Amino acid sequence: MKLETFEAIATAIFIVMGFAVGLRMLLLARRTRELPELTLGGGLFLIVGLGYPLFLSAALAPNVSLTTGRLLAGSAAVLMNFGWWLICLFTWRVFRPDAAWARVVGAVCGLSLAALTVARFVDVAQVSERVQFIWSSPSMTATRVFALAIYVWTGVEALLCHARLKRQLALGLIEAVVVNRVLLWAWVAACCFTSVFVGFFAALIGVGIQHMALVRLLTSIAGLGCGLALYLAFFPPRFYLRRVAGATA
Amino acid sequence: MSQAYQEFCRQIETCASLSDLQAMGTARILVKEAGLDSKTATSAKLSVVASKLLPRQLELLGVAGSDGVAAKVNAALAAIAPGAAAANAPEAVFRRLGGTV
Repeated sequence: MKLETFEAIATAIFIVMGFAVGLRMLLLARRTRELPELTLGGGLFLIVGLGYPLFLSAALAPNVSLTTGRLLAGSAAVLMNFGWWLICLFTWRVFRPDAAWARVVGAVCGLSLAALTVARFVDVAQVSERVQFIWSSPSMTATRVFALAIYVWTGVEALLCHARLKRQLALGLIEAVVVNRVLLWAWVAACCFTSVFVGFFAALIGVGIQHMALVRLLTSIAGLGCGLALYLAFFPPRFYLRRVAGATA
Repeated sequence: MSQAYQEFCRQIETCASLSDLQAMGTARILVKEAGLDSKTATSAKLSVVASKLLPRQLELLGVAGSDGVAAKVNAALAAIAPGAAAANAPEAVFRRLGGTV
């Protein structure tokens, strides 16, 4: 299979799963009126379902003018930065609801991502070619640092929670599928981290065009891993549920 | 601390004739070993802890008739309402996230 084909399939799976899971969580939030599903659903929907396709379209879609590209890139920045803040809120409210430091992290992330959105608009306005939308700029580098930090926090909290829930599982106090879902959420965070980190690191070391294929391959693999983890966590097929339940029976 | 957890501590203290500090320490060890949170632990879950983990812990403390003590604690916990898990405890959230919309 050609790299371009694999990249297209992996990216499509990632976007479709982010869109579907985000929408499902938002519908769930409408019924339950609870904050965790609202923040998780909103975050996934805005980052993966809407923001990422706009970001890619701004730079890579054919027959798009520079003005339209600027509009798309700016919109993507608003959606994705707000989405990252929602994921940060989800991690705070679910894993550290009583911790004062977590409240501070949530507030700092919100204010910083808002400021970075404005900075991104300034950068986008100065771009002379559409392909530069995916190149690194000071605002994009800083945004990626915040996104990476949010994914690390989310992943670590999910792994800590998973370790605790495994002890409940050993006593039969919790369903195996719930414990597995927490582990898959940590996997989603790890894949998203990898996806952002590859681009961040490539930009940081100024990777040449001859290595861009490797960057795209790694990003695609991370996106595919994230899409599959979202599928297994939130739309698990019956065979997978049986396997998870059987592993602990 | 949840109401069930407070009752759990009180029953360990009374039924095993331990000091309040010993009872609280024992409860804390057990809850940690079971992966529970003292703020959200329900009587249903603590009842399982009392059955499966408490006897061994009481033996370590040299309490005679640990099985009988655990049964008394369990009976006291059964008398109070099982209690719903806190809606926003991580396990409750992740259970809900897999539910129907």
